[in-house]
Amino acid sequence: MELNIYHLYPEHLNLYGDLGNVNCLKRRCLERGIEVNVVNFTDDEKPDLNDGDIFFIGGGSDRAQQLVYKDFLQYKDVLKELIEEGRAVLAVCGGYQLLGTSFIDKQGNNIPGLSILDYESKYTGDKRIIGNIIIETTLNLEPNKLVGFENHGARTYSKYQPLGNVLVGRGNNDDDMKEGIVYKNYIGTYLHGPVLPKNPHLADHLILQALRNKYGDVESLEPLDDEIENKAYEKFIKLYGK
Amino acid sequence: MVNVRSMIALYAGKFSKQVLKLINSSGTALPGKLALRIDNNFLDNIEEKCDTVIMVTGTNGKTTTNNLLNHVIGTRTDKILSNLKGANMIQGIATTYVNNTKDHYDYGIFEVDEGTLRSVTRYVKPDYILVSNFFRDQLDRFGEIDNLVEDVYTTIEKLPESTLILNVDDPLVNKFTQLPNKIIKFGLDLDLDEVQNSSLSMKNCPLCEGKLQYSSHVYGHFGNYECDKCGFKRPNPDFVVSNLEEKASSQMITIDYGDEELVFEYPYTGIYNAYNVLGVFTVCKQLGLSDDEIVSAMGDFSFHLGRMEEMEYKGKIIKVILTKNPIGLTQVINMISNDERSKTVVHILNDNPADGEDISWIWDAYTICEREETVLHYYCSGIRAEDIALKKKYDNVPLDKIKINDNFKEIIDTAIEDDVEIVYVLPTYTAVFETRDYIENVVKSN
Ligand SMILES: [Zn+2]
Repeated sequence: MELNIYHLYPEHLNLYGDLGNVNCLKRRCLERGIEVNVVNFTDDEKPDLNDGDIFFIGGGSDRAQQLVYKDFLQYKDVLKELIEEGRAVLAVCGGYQLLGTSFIDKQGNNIPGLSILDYESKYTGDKRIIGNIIIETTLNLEPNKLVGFENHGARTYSKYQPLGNVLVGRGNNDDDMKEGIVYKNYIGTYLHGPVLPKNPHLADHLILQALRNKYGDVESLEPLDDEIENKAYEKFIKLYGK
Repeated sequence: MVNVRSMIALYAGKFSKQVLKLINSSGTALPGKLALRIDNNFLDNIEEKCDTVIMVTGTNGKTTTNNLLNHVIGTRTDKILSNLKGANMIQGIATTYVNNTKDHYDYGIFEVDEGTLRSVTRYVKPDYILVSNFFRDQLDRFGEIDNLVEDVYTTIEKLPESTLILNVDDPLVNKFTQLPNKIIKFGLDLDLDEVQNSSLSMKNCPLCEGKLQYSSHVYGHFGNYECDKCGFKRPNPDFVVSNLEEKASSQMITIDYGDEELVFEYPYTGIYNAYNVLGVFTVCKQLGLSDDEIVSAMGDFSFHLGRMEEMEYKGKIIKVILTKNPIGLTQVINMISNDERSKTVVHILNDNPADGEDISWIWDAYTICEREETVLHYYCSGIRAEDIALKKKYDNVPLDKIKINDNFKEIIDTAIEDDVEIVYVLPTYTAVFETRDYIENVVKSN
């Protein structure tokens, strides 16, 4: 088996160690004998998005997100269709906001997003949300919690299924104690960490969906030696869980 | 004229220092904080007392640069007021003044946090400002350094009398050459062509967002660059390091300026140290020190406080190096990679507020050690021991080499008994002092 992991704009959207997510997907495939091609989609190189099995988009500085917004406008319909089709996509923080209908710039102005999905991120005048976060995920995962670090100024409002209910921390906004969104196999989240190495069960969820899309009858993934991952996860819950 | 309010502030600060001593607390910023509470113009006193004021700012190397400057200028005078221990926020600088004992100082030399420069220079106008570099810091809460650079830039716009000493290898610092101030430039004419880490290197022009093309590359986003859109490029520096030769525990540095060329040995390795040395050299030349004075002082510099300290234990070297942000950690690992000796590496990762509560910064660092076969163990400790262990796993280190224990004392006890020539201990900020003190105690009681 073989998967193409598309990394969108790694040269611009590379804050908070989120590149570790791509390493994680790759590593967990290779350990199971699944071949992997990491394909960078950049300003200069525009490989065919239709060939991607898992897509990752991270967050960047305000100016970097503006550059990406302008450049990606002409490709957004393709990605939208792929998400409708059920391709596996992970968008973190700025990338999560970018795919919605609006996000905010440095001055707190609301600016249009790519509108690939119908949720909005806006400026409320309230302080940035920064801190450790633990959520109970709505996905059928074992264990059922996800851990990470959130750091965002905008508040996101959506009617989609959330990625999880917040146990510790804040999540999308100040009101509903929900974190992230799930739509088909698209996952948007504010969790850094990076989120996948810290939550290998979420990484495996994306890999499994991608394999099912491509090869149909994949039932489950072979378990891996996650001793260190589990220790880090348990330590986090011990330190910051309530 | 004696300002009564400011006198009260000074004595309140001194009194609190005595109290801190009694309760055996180090609280380096508290006396200054108290003094500022009583007299918020308290820092005005510093400018009155010091003939020449030098400030050092930028992300990395401030404390080393400050200590090295003190060491070199200290060969001329002992009348220097300085925040040598790295308390670089406004209260820390005020504390330095609370602790002062002399009526007059020839030099005030301060490292100043980039975010604090604006408030400090409201009271103290520096004669020289050394701007070393801008890197994303682990405390970079807003996810971008653009705002920080802009803040320092507009601060210096209000200081037209200050001479700027700029590291022009950094495009973000080079931007400051557009200011009308007197400007002295320094940089390294080297092409090291190291492994590039995409999240550490910058590719866009700070003026126009165009692409920066590098004809040579030192590390991070340092190098010889030119914007393909607006022509913004690295100018020729006035002071240049034209050659570096790394040895086991020192380096030969060649500095060129004007028609002069100097070659000397500096007792610490690492390219980032070459930047510190060149920055200090450039400042000292502005102050009128002779080449010989500077070079011979640098040759016997020794640094404490865990920034680069070496201790000996049972015939091996224990080296403590603070690692507090992605570029710093990358550079230290690069230095370890160049070391051929058998070694063990101890990471101590804390996530206290001063370290950065978001430890995802370790994923922005390039932490793969070359010469993997010379590393016996990677010990992982600190509050987030498991997280640094996970990063080592992702570096493809064999799992049996990774040892996890969040008790740093236990891990140091074990690590220093390893049968190796050198033990590298790499604590984050809030771990550095206690780690250093603990090792010193063990070494002494042996
Ligand atoms: Zn330009």
